[in-house]
Amino acid sequence: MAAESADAARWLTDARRRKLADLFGRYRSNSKAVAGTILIGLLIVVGVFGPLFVSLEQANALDVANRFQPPGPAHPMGTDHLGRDVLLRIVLGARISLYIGGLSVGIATAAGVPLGAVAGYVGGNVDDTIMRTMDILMSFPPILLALTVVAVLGPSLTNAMIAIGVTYVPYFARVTRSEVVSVVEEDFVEAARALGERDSRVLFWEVLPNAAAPIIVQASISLAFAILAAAGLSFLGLGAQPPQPSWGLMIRQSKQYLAQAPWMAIFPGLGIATTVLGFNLLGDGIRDVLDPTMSAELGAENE
Amino acid sequence: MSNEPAYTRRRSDESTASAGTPPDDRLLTVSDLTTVFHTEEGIVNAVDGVDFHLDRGEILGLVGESGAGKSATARSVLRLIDDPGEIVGGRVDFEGTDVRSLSDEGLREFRASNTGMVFQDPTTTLNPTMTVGRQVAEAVQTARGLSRSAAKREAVDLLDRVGIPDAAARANDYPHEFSGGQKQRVIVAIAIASEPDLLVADEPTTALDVTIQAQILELLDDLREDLGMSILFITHDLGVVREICDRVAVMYAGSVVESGPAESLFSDPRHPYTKGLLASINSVDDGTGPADRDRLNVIEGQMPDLTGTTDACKYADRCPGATEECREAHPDLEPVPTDPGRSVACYRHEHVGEMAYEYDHESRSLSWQTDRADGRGDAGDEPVVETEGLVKHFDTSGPIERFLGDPEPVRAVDGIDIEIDAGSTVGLVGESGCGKSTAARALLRLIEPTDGSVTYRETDVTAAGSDELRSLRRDLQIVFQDPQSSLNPRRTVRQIVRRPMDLHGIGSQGDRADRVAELIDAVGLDTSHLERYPHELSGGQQQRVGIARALAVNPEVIVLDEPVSGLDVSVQAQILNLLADLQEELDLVYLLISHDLSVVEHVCDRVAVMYLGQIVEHGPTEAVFDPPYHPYTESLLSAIPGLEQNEERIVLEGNVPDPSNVPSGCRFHPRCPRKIGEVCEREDPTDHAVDGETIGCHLMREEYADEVDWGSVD
Amino acid sequence: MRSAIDAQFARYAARRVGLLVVSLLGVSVVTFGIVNVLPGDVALLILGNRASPERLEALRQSLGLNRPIWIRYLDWLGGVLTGDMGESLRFGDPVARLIVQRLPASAFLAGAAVVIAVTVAIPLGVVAGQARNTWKDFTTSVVAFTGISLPDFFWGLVLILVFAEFFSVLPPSGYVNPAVDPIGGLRHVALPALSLGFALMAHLTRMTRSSLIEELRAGYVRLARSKGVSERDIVYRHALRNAFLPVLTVIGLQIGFLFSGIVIIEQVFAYPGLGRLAFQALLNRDTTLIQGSVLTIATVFMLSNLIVDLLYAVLDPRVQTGGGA
Repeated sequence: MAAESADAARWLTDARRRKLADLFGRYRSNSKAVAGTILIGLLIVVGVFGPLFVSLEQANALDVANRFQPPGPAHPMGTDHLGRDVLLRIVLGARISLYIGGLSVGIATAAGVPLGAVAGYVGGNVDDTIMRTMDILMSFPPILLALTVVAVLGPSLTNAMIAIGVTYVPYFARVTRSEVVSVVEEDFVEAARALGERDSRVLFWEVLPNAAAPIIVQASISLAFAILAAAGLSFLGLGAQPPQPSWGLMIRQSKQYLAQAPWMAIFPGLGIATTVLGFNLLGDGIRDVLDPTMSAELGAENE
Repeated sequence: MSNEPAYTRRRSDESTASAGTPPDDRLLTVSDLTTVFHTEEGIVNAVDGVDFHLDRGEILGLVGESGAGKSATARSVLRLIDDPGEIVGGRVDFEGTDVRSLSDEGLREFRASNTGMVFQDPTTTLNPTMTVGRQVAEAVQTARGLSRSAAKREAVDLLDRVGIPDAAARANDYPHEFSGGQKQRVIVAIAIASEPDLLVADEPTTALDVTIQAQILELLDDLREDLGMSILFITHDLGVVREICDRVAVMYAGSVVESGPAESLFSDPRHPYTKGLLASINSVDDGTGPADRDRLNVIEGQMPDLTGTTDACKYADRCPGATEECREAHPDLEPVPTDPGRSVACYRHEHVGEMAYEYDHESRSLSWQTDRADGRGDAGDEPVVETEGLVKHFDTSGPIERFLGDPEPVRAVDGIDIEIDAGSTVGLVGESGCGKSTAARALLRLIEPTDGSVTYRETDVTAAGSDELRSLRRDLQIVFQDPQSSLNPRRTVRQIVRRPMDLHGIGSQGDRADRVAELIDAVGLDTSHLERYPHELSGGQQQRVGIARALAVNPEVIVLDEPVSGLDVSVQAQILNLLADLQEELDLVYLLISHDLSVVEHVCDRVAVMYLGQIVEHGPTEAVFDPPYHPYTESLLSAIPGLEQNEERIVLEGNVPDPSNVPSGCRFHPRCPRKIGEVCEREDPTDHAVDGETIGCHLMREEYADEVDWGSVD
Repeated sequence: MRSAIDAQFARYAARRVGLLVVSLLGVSVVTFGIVNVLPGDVALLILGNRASPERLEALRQSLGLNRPIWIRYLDWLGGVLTGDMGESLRFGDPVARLIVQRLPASAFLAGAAVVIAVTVAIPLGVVAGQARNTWKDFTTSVVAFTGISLPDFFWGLVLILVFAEFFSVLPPSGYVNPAVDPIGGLRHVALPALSLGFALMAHLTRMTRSSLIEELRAGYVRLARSKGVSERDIVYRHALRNAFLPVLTVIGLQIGFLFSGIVIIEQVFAYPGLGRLAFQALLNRDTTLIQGSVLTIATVFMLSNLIVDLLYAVLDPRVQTGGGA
């Protein structure tokens, strides 16, 4: 630890700067990563600043006289069956999407990564016990498990989030475990043990930082899945409850008026698709950036 | 072992001289071949205007260290250069046809019928989901357009010809069911399916054990004679070149720097690089024992980066004889006026005799380590480290297997005794899979031994509690084979070297900073390396960091697990010198794990030869090697390529058996060339003392003395 | 040799089936546990908040809710093993019969979705992988990213809008038994299967592409080139089979998402399958039906994974003993 404190004073050493510059260079030249960042960036801006300009009251303001208005100057995305402005609801829905995605992936990471790390590092019976349990959780189709949990706990956004988080724990555990197992094979792990490092330090200081890349990728892609799943639950009526302006719920409400007012479904659908696409692109891009072996690196060193 | 020049192996007569070769004997002429790789860092000139030629029936060795461009050259000849790479210039003339101008279909036919190629890593080279018979048959079909069934029959014949036993049945097996050596044989079968004129062999034995390497070399040599084909043989191993090649082209940094007949090139190198390479390897090979611990002669520095262009001789920076002239342009490869069969790319090749490689080393003992090193030199007569009956078995079965019956464990280490005296080096040698690395890890208690004990200076390592073990870690350290894998890629060199001192609370904060600088200097690096990440260092530099890390806790014993086998020849010599210096200055005790007998012979005071988890012979190095008594030691020594053979080489059949199913009696008996008879299968040979060493072999027992043909042993 | 390999395969299969049985037990515990251990009183769920304590108690008594949980579990498990999953609290019918009635419709839908996905994805992925960084590759990428990003229910609504509402060529809902009326069956399954299969298709296309690209860099491809095999044969005879192995793994994993999709898609298209049954049970707090249908769906999912694993072992001769995919 002492070395760290000595180094902490000048965190941005030359070596770190080079490394970051290198990562940033690769990141910038990766079109998927950049496109994903832009989409997610937009979403975050809308999610964070939108509510400053649009209140829930405005978004829920009924105007039955102006129901089913097609997109036009007054209502850029039209109005719904209660005459509410679709655009305002879309803006507020962004925050809900981010919130549900972030928290459920947070839960999944917080539980899955340590479980997988311990299983992969300790091995033996501990590994078997943890991973068999994870296998059983994975034997349920993901949304079905979440549905069941929500149905029992009662439908609400928070319960949906917890249910989705729990569902994704085994995926994080698996990714972490397989990566830890391969990093543990590296000699520097044995070198640390040979120096007398404690296992906890070896695992969290030597092994996990080198296993981070696929976990980050998994997190980004899981954000996409979690947002999809949450939308699915809301669509089924088990997630966000009226009058919350969740995108999935908006599509649910549009179902009956599909032929009459397709914009009620199309805009929230595009909202979900864009968000999910952003996280998928970002995840793919990060994978390319962090794992340059996939890019053109064969050459003279290949001998 | 004799010190005579060692090129007495038979080779085909017509190809020894190339000077007067009539042009119609020429098979392949490569001129000004240039191949680049487009990378993020820029254009890498992997093959930079290479010239060489190959006659019919000839074996040309293309030698060089990693990064020299030899593989890229070989692949360029067959136009097997993948995407980021591109052949941008030159001519590859094969019997009057320019390979570079062939259409795609022409190229395919050329590869199908005129050439064959053998690759370095047999495990990734065969298609894992196709039977080997089909893979060979496919080559037969593309070459000769036979019917499917005829091709299949032909494939079985080919497999038989390359020495796959029971070929008809094994043709239906998948690659993973074959050992590494057998896979390489299958690939050879594919390569010769068209009875090609040219076989390109790209490091065909590098991934194999020395005994298997000998088998494959013999196979290639036989096939060359039977089929009258030419072989372009790429290797980094000068011993292999001596063994098999008629002529040699030495590559350095993308260029051929010298070429000529193997014999004269080795006895009289004209390029300073060739001379340096030979110097670093000869002093390992010529049997200089540890008695006179001379350092190896080394080429300092490392190969230059091939990105961008150069305006000097590429070797100038490492050359002991470079002058101003050498800094102007890279010299062309030109015939030597006095010896037209040879060519050299050096302005000053006439002066090569005056250029000498030396290793001068100023003793730089670590000030702060001496206090603890005091008294290490003399431990009385007691060994510093001692193992007794060390055993490590692995239980690989799962719960279902255990339920079905009690399976045999993998007997990786099966009762070994090792003693190491103060300030000395003991070598542990054997083929891969013999358990030597496991033994070292059990000794350090990086894995828990199943049985037996390890003692370090009266402390029982095997019985130590976790706190005691942690403090023992300061005395017992390890250096790994793969330097890249041994350093955490996310830590800088400074963090890596400093961490051990922080961990064990050695010195004050200020002391530690000083010691990091001192350590990095002691291993031959400088403080500018401290802020680098491991991937920014070369393999040799990484290994130096690994050594500095081990030294940081001021240990007495260091296990060296194949410390140089991942490194190039010239770098190997540098690291071996460094290790010898450090041992002398710090009174270190080394346990050297190695498969390379020449390194062991050069470095070790005592040697233990391991086979299938047991030590079959141990004693002082000279006693074990000169002459070898145990048939396994004898076979290992005999398999070293490039050394003189007074008699036919002993080629060991087969592979190291499965350690979960060890043979009865003497474990070596199924492969033993000197098996006496039934006693070898029945009785485990006990250790016999012979000439100051200990040997586990029935040959050493008096009652069998008359059954042994000693004439053939000596 | 052949028989030795078959024996090995049998051993492997036996191992996988053994694991499956253990996992099934675990699944039954979790299923039962979620419904019975998580906060939420079944009797309260059934009767609603305004029910009197006496009625609640009476219902608990009649449902056996007052017995220890593990006895209730063993009771239930014993029933399941003999084909008796209890009676639906809502419909009063035996749960097993309800499930058997609905299973074929869902199987037909899932099968159709997988067939559509695989037949489109593999050729698309191969084309993209071979023509890397061309317009073909780019177009495929766009389609694939769209597929993994669109929510299936939204995509289903779009399909209904276009094919049922606008063009009126396909029915927007319902199910016709294909054994009785093949054409009608196909017409009714078309839209739900397309909605369900799109995401799977997109995932498989991406995996096929990247896996093929990776395989085309493998050492054996270089060997095949060196022996003069044509580029076409290299792709189709050598690389594709190896590239298919990771794709197969993804199929196994994605079947789970497919089954999740079924619950939603059957809802969108009012398709009378198992997913809809399970969903109705969840809405109705029909605990016995929830347990039965969730267990059934999980079992079918695990069986399809078993098939994928065995198929993998057939295609990859290296898989013998040891942990499966």
